[in-house]
Amino acid sequence: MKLLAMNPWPMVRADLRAMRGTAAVVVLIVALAVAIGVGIGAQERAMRQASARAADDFPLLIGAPGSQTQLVMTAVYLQIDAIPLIDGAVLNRLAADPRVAAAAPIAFGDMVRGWPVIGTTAAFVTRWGRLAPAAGRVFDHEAEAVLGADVALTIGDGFTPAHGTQTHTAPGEDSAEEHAHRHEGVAYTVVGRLPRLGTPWDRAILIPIETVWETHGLGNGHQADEAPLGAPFDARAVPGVPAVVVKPRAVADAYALRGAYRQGGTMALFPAEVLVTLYRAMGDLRDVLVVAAGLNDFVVFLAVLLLAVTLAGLRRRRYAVLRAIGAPPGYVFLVAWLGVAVLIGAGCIAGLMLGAAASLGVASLLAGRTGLLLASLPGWPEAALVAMLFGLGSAMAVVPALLAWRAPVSSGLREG
Amino acid sequence: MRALEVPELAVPAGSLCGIAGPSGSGKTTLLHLAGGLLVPGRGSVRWGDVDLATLTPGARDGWRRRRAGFVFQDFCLVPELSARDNVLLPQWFTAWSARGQAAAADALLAELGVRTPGKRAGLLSRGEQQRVAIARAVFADPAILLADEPTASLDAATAAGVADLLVAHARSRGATLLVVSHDPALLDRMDRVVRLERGQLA
Ligand SMILES: Nc1ncnc2c1ncn2[C@@H]1O[C@H](COP(=O)(O)OP(=O)(O)OP(=O)(O)O)[C@@H](O)[C@H]1O
Ligand SMILES: [Mg+2]
Repeated sequence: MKLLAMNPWPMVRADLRAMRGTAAVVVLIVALAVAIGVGIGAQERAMRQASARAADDFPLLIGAPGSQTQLVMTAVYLQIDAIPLIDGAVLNRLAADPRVAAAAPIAFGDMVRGWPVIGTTAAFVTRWGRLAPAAGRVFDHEAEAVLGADVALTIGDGFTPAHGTQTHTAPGEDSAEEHAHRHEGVAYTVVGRLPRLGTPWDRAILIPIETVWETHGLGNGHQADEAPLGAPFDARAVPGVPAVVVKPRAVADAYALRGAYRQGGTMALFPAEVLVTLYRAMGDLRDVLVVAAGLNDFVVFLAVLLLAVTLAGLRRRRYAVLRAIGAPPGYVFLVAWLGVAVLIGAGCIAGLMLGAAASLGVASLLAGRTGLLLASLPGWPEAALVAMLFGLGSAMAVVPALLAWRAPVSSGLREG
Repeated sequence: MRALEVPELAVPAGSLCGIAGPSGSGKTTLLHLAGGLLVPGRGSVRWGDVDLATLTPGARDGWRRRRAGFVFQDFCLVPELSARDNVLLPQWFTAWSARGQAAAADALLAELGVRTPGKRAGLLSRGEQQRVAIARAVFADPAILLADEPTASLDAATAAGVADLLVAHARSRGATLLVVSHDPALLDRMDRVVRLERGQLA
């Protein structure tokens, strides 16, 4: 059996060479169209994964009644807003609650060279034992600080925080604004650094919650001045905190706790659930983008198809000569089809790479803005999309190939 | 209206037949019929025992590939392919590789006076291009050579050279040659010249 009974490639190469200018433009156009679809898809998925990952450490959040989104954005993503405080006594109530595996306060309000300073407990710094410092140790005295992976300070450094929450887009620089609001006479020392989490917390400076309270003249939350850090907070009046993160013991406990803390001056929510709601709201926008990208691909492919039909028309004479010197119509079909399929294939591959490059660019931009580490390289869904586009394109390329295949030889020879 | 109405035209195997006549008289149509590129509305086109009119399109393609070689007025080479690959082109209609034939193609091209087989056909002189076209037509040793005004776009000296090649090749291989031409020098060398007038044999 003759498997390879014909070889259209010499003619395909000759055709592509003959129209190399057009070919380059076609590849470019297809690549751009594909890259947009791939980029949007990869980006959207990566954003979803990264934001879900960032919320993993925050099973249940308790804050003052108000905007749920604002609480999540502030506590989980450190897009810090001035949010109202809840009574610090909640911390002790939670500590005593059998449904609670662990609870930790989260307090904001200060910053250092654009990095937010966050007060919490040593236990939450290690995410209740899941994390170990990459260097140094977790704070165990007031005025000690642990750095997120992206904070450009070193262990042993001392710094003075400033009041404010307006983080710079490019942290790491001093600003006049910060100078004006320095907490003079307050100095923290860096004792450790956390590994990279790929979340906005990588750019936070973590200090004991007690130190936050002290810095703002609220006492240390304990009866004794030299009490050990962390719960229980046994002061007569525990200072308020903007948010408490709670790790419930079981799923049922989580729902019970959420119900319990939805009233009495607090609000309780699952950040993951708020995210889902947010996604649903953004889903419409995403659908519009996806449809627009799809429409864009379709229009581009239609244009390429028209071009291919026109080119096949211009090549009628050339193909008629092939037939006159003995080529079966199938050969002409293959030559005409493969030429377009090769261009679309090249465009798809270039588009995948271009989309990957664009995704990486957008990811690093987003990481700079939000601290979310996006794994936004195109994955299987994008590969599937490109494969589908290639399939669609090669299917469309059958049209000019069929025209070439059907073209009568004798009249084709009279053309040109 | 019919383009061509030929009651009967017999061309002995191995003979050289010229086809002359004014423009629009049906010369190209007759040649296309003879080569199986067109099927007659009525009647038959017989080469030996084969009636092209009754073959399936696929069988006609196969017959043409094995039996007929075409030469055109404006050569109709693939300009992006080398002279050698133009000659080898028909091989790729039925086989993946034509490598085994490359040396033979080069030899034939050299015999026809083309000494740069690797050069792109589009870069060759017109005389060279027509030689490559003849090489392509005769490479598979077809029993029938069909040429439509093969010298019309060449200057007189080059035309004479190309005519020599065509005639010499047909004679040496015993091929039947059908040539449409206005060129008296070429027609003079035919065994017989038929004239067409408004689709009729004159
Ligand atoms: N596909 C076609 N449909 C209709 N009429 C056609 C077709 N092809 C050719 N004709 C007509 O048939 C006649 C013969 O055409 P043909 O090309 O065979 O002439 P010719 O003798 O080769 O002319 P020339 O010397 O100009 O090449 C012409 O009147 C032409 O208009
Ligand atoms: Mg003609």
